[in-house]
This record gives sequence, structure tokens and C-alpha cells, in this order.
Amino acid sequence: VNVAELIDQHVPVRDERGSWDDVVRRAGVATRRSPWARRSLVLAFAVAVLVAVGATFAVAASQGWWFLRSEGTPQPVGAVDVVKTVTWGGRQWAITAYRTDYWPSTRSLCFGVVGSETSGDGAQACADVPGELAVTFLTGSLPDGTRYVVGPVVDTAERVRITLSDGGEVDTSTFTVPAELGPIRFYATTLAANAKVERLVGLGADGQEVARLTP
Amino acid sequence: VKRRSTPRLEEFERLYRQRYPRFLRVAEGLTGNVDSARDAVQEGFARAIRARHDYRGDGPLENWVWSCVVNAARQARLREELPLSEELADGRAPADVGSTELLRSLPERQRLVVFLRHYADLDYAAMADVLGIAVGTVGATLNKAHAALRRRLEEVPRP
Repeated sequence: VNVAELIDQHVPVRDERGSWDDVVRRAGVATRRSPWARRSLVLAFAVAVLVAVGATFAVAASQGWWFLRSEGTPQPVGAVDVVKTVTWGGRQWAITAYRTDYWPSTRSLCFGVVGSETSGDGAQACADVPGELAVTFLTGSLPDGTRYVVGPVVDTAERVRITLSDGGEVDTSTFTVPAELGPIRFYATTLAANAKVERLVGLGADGQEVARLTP
Repeated sequence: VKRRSTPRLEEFERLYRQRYPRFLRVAEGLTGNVDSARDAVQEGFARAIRARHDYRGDGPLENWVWSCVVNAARQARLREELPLSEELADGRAPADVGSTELLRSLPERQRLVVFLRHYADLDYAAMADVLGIAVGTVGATLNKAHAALRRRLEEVPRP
């Protein structure tokens, strides 16, 4: 027995995986919602904004972004950025994003898809990205029935692979956003009608996974 | 000094999933008990996450997490006060000594560098970062540990 063998024999290599959930619980972040539950919260918030919009649109039209006028909407710290404009369903849409301190502990990012600053249509969502989540999404249907999916992802992601409930996959490139929004990029694409997002995976330049959101 | 942004939970998770067996092996070497080692790894990662806002970004995140796990394992060992280490505190090896006892007979710093080198496969710079000592000290400590083990192996009677 030489020294190297002695050391090697001292402690066996154990084929164990440990428990990440236990680590998170001990760290005191287990009381937060799981990413998937948080996604549900995000979508619920988006619905709430849409519902509220009908009642507030008339007032909002002359006071900047319509969604900021809805009661309960997290207010921005800094400007609301239009990170990209897209033409979907024969109409132009703005993808907006801003940081808020509405939930101070989560450094939330709010983002949305809106017809225009005053049009009063579209949807909005907020989530902790990058933070608790490395990628998330907002999905919905345009007036012509076209589905879309939009969201932030950590800035190491060059692409986002969207897996649908029918097993199909859609790869879309990410794009840069203003630095004030933090170390993130965005992605945005349309999907087939009735498509349901099952999983999101952010992929780095080398194809390595850098972000994931799964149920 | 440019301070990097607070590490994300996903970075810790990736490290945990990729390196768990190494963390566990080092912790077991330090605690001498696999159950205590499992607990030390969990606690070390949990502490690192709780203190993630204090991470200065001076070195790789992995080194910082290693230091948290090593500290958790050392504290676990102190709590348990393994009697064997006290018996061999003078560094002599009794006649019926085995490999476990030989390793445990080393001073703590020597055991640390041995485990981090052989079980975690860390290089000298990383070990220095984890332990908060100079790179030269890492090399010297590792040489001393190997020399002590060689010497004690020769002292152990062979059947």
C-alpha cells in the first residue's frame, strides 16, 4: 500500500445524489413557491391586469403606459423599456420590461406584450429573474388566435428551447435588452394555435443548459 | 475591486448536482462519519446560499462553497469530538493502526489539504483560496502530510 492508495481507501466514493430540496429548505428559501408555482402566480397576475384594464383604460390613455394605471400593478423603478417590437397576427406589438421594488426581496422584473402605450390591450407579468428563476415566460393569445410566448432568461442564454405539451420543440434566439434591466436577455416567438408550453430550457453559446423551468 | 453580482440559486444547484459525491467524500474524511458528512454538505450549501449576498467574487464560486462545506464539516467534527484523534494527538501510530487511523493521526490542516487534493481534485490555488492560506503553504503542507503518511506506513508492522 502506498500513500495514494492509502488515501484512496480511507473514504469510499459514494454514488449518492444528496437532496437539493433539503438544502433549499435549510437555507430558508423553501417557503418560496416552486418555480412552477411561481409561474402560475405570474400568469394569474397577467390575467388580473387584463381584467383590470377594461375599467381603467379610459383614464390610462392620457397617463402613459396603460398597465401602470391598473390598481395593484407594481410600479417601475426607472423607465419602462420597449425591449423589442414585433409584428404578430398582422399587428405591431411592443415587448416591455421594467424593474420594480414592489416585492423588495425578489428584485422583480415586470414584462409584457402590449399593443401600444395607450391601447389597453396585451398582458403583463412579474417574476424574480435572474434570481429565483433563471428563465420564465408569459404566454397568451392574440386577437386572431395566434399564441405567443415571451420572457426573460439569464444573459448566458443564446437560445431558448421551448418544449410543448404535444412533444414538439421550438428553438428561438434570445436578444439583448437595456443594461438597466439586469443580466438578462429576452426571447419572444409565436406558437401554433392551442400550443401549451411544457418546459423551457435556456442554452448557452456552446449548447450547454444554463436555465430551466419545468413543472 | 469589482464585485460580481449575487450568485443565483441555480449556480449553487448546478454545483451541488455536479459535485455532490466530491463534497460528501471530503466531508466524510473530515468528520469520519458518513451521516455527519451528509449533514455537513447540506448545511454547508445552505450557509453558502444564505450568505450569497456576501460573496465578493474574489475567486470562483465553487471555492467559496467548498470553504462553507469544509467549515461545516469541521464544526461537525468538533461537536462529535472523535476520541481517536485525541489518542493519536502525538502523531505516533500504535502497532495495530489501520489506514483510517493513519489519516486521522495527521494534524487537521494536513488532512484538509490531503482530502481537498485527492478527493476534490482541487489545484493548489483553489485549495489556498478555500483554506485562506498561501499557495506555498498548501504545497508545503501537502508534502508534510505525504511524508508523514509514508513514514507511518513504514512503521506499521506487516503480517
